[in-house]
Amino acid sequence: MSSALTRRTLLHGAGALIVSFTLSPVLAQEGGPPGAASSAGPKLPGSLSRTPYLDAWIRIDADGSATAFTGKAELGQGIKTALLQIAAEELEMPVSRVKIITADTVLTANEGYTAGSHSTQDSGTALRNAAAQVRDILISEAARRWNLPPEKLKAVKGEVIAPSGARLAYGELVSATLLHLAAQPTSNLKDPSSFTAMGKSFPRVDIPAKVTGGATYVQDIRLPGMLHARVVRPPSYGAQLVSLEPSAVEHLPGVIKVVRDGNFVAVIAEREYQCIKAMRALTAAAKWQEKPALPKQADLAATLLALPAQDFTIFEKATGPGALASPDATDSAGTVPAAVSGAAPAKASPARTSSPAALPASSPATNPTLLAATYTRPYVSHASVGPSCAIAQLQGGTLTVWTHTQGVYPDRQAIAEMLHLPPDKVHCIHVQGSGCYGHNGADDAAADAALIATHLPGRPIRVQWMRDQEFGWEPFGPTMITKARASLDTSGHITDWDYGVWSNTHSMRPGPAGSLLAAQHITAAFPPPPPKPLPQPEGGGDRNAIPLYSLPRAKVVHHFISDMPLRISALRSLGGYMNVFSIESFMDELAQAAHADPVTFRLKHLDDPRAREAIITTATHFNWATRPKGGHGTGCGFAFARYKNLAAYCAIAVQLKVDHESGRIQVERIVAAVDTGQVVNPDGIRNQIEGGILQSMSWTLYESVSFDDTRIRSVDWATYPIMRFDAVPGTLDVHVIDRPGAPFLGCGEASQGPTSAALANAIADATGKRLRNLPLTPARIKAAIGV
Amino acid sequence: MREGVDREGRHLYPAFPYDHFTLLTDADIDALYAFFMTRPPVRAQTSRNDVPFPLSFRPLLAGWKLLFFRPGRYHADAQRDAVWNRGAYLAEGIAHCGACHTPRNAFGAEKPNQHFAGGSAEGWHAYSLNSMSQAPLAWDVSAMELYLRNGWHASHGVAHGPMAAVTDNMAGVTASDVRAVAEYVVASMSGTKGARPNSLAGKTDAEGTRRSSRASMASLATAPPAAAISPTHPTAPVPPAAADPPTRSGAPTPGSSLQPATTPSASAAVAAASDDKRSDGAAIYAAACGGCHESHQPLPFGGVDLSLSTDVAGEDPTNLVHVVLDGLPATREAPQPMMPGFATTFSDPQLVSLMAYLRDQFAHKPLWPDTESAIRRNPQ
Amino acid sequence: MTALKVNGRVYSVDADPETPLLYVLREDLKLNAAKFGCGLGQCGACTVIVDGEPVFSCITPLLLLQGKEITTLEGLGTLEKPGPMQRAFIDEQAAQCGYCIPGMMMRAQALLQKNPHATDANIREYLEPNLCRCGTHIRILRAVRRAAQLMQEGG
Repeated sequence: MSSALTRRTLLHGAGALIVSFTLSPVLAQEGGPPGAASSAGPKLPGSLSRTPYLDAWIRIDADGSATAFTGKAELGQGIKTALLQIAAEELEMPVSRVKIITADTVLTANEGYTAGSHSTQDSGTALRNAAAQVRDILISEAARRWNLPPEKLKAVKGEVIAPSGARLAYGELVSATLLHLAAQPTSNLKDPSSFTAMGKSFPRVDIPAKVTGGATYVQDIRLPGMLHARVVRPPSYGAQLVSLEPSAVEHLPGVIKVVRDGNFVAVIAEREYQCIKAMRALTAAAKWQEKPALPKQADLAATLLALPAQDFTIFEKATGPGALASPDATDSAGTVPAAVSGAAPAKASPARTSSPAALPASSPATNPTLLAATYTRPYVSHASVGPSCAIAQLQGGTLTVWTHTQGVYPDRQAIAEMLHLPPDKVHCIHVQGSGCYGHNGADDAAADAALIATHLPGRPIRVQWMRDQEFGWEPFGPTMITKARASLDTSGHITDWDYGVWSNTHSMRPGPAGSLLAAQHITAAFPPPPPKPLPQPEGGGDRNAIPLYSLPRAKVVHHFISDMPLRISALRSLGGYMNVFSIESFMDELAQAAHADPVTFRLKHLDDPRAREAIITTATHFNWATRPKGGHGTGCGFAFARYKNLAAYCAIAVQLKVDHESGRIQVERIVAAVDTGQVVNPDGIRNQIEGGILQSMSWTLYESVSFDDTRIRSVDWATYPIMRFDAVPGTLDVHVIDRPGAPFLGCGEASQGPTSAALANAIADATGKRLRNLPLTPARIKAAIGV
Repeated sequence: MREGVDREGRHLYPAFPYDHFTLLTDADIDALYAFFMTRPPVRAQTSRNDVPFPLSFRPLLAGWKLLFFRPGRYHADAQRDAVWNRGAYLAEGIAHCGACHTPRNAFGAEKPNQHFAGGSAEGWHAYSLNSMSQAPLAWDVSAMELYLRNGWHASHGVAHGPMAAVTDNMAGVTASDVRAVAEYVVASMSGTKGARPNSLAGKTDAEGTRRSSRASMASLATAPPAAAISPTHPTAPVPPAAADPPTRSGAPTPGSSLQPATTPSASAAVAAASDDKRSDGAAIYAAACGGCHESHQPLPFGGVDLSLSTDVAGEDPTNLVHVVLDGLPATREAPQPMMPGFATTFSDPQLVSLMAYLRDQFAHKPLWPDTESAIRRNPQ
Repeated sequence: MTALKVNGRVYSVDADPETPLLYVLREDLKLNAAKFGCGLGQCGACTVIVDGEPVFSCITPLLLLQGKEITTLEGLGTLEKPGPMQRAFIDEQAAQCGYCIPGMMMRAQALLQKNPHATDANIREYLEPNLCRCGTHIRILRAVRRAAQLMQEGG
């Protein structure tokens, strides 16, 4: 088997040799040809299905310590710690004796992107099963040596113990090939009642270093001979470099080289500040030709609606007599009863708001109440606090890239394609960056560093994006429009539901080289790949477009728009944020038309018991039934969603005050309940939900990317303000519902959507005005409430 | 409002600007009353005056009024159009701009012959709004309008101190009224009339000549045109992109110290032999200020081009001291210029050195003689 | 050459006197805590303490720091022996990505050194210049309150 051992192998002498690694990079890391390892038989759990060999996930060393390998990356969401807990639990080892190695194209499985709240589900499930099976293999090995039945043996704290008290440490049991086995489809998983690590709020393993100045981030990496680089980006999409006079810059102190390849311009220098000054000088020395190509921001919704769209009906139920026409048909045709004229659909214009529909004083029993509404969302920035950064070094024919990309394998592929290198000559290693919240500038910074490194082989090149570059060039969360129509019968039940969402794709991630800015800007440019919709049940713009509610008749259409006037890609929760904002705002509008309590109204339409429990938990802890009556600037709002209708359940209640003179809101308290299936780290879940709530408050109340007809104009914190401490709620309580034994459900994106609608509903409760166009700024609130 | 007396008939101190409010129409006063009465009442204790004796003797105000106050509604100037008159009515009446922007005599009354010649408020200087205006780039009506509505303008700077509250309020005023005020103020800056409408004295401003800084506009040929980028808040209209400062294409801008041939360290080294202050100031500017103020990006990104700033070119150092030491508050909700404060970074000599550099480099003027006392006056 | 006193030690730094302190800390002194967030004095990720006052190190050039006492997060304690502010942030798990946290901690440290009895309202107001994008604000406030407590207990 020695030919099979890769360069990752460490062999320490004879005797207790440990390390068992995968056979070959192809099988272990790429998951092999489909079905290679589990050719016949049921699918393996989680990411094991793609990477079936146990030793791709778990390594046991001679000294008894264990290493878990995950293809997922720590983004600040605490996944490293959660996965450690999972692995340690099933391995029957103390967490402190287990290490974890994350996302590395040489060392770990290919688990795609750390995205979509999939990490616990996919990697956690794989690690849990792999660890359980490794533990059982070790027990079997001990049983073999002692000639005892394995059922009589116990694994405790890294040792196998016989009834006689005899012990064998894991380190003594392993061998080079012991764990080189394909996983089985099922495992002996521990009973939740016996958990010592999972389900506990184990402190995050990365926090101590972060608060004591440890080297943690990609920005902290210092390599011998490392040089600094800065990119001079074009002033706008599509700008062409007309002339560049680099000679003065080349003579500035510390400058090593000016790189120019088509529209890609960069400068390399010895010291960082020298590089920044050189970048500024190089910027001044470059002349670009720009053209106005961006839409009018004030008419963004109309622009989007006018673009060609492909229509996908993603949900349709029992179309029959009485079903509504789809919302994009001319809706002024006489389908709207005159008695409900207050419910005319709002135009997709930021300045307008609509008052809630009122039930007519006396409506005939057979005349349903019809409501319609249109909601809009602008472009939203990831706005990572730390602009993107990467280090690359071309040495001995191999390009190593240290990057905070969410997907080391796809980024490697794209970079390899851009540089015409075979993928196995590019090694991408994930190192933490600041929170990315999706596809920000990380992949592009990696490509920039890689490209520049090829101009100076042998030297590590560190590229740090500037603040305005991160804001100006990151791919935004796309602008979206939704239209909802529904009818209520006289008993206050929704009888018809029609929903349409207009959106670009929500992913332009690498994969293809053309996704990378550097590849688009060099002379031998790669065209951006054609955008594609992400299929249901996950969806992109249509994520969470299908309500979880029980509706007798419903139709949901995804209007997929290919033209992307601004650069866009995945932002945390993708279309989920906007669709939940729309649906949950609309549910409140319907509840009001039905003269029903918003929580009761939702429960009336929900069968899913876990959904009901999340809602009831929040309502109870919030004292929803005895909440202050809305009006005179005080209001309460409620919202609920199950992320993707597949992942975590989250219900949120908000109480806030609206200042009449300024339209500013002050959130007094927030209560949330979340059901994420089997809980791994309760505090970690609370941290994620709290963070999602506060981030969503910022998106919902403040944020929109601004641009003129040529350039992005929101390029710093003055032009793209986000929430600061003055707006933080008085209290925020998160209740975690534990479901021992249930499958893991990702929670990192569960709270954003409900928060936005809860805020809109609370504002409506406080002021009597319904706002449907994000962001819900003080200016808009003031305009709605008037003098 | 009209006569400056309270409910009991006692004279009020002109800290309450009834000398301006007297101009209001009956309808407007009625409307104000109606508005106030719709606000929820609050319990608030009025603080006691701490006016020193003998000024605390209220009946003295009768004498003050005799000398300095003429009650009476606004009368339109027939030689001016309706918009100017509307602007005058608002600016002199409810907006009482002169209460800050006109200097006061020893009795605390606005000097009638120096209408809009510059004044002070709450420790800040209110710049002259007449032909003595020191604004490096002349204001035009649309720039003034944008400034009043948004609190900043890329070619002029940012409203700060008490003026920030004014522009916050102006944001809620109808566009036509803001424009009218803008017209009135800009007309005043053109210096065709020195006396305040309906004011006590009929004399015009003594001097009508333009200041040399305005004549040096030719040297600012590369400055951005007046119709610069307006704020990009979602509810504000976004005008077509104005031409960006030509420095983008490489031509040097006056004051730009980051061009290859004139790096601050190079010019500082040259100047070091002659004037220590200036070289330190140049280095401080490059390192602490240049990141924003030399970004060649229009407001609200980064910092205003200081060659366009009245704080640097103006008649008084107070505001520049305030801004450098205290900065501009972090943005609340809407896009708006912000600036960190440097009170904890600069020592007083370092600040003087920086200000000397700014005055020389961007306004081509000497340091103000009262700079050091202005620094000492700044509350920390 | 510039003499710089950081965390109680004097360093001799060979850098252009215009260099902002942030780059000197990270590049010359190899200190990781102060971070580049914007370089514009808008976000606070670079905050350090100079003569007891919080300062944006990204816009404070070396030439202004002669004779001043600079404290970075590394000066508040170590991994093995964390100081009260650090212990408080670990106990409260007050971090998600953690990038803004050193700046927050230094700003809070400056506050508590001046006002050991700072109220929640004081803390919220004082931390206004510092941005957190992950939404960790509530935990940060709890951690600062806890740090105040630990400091008063002589921790």
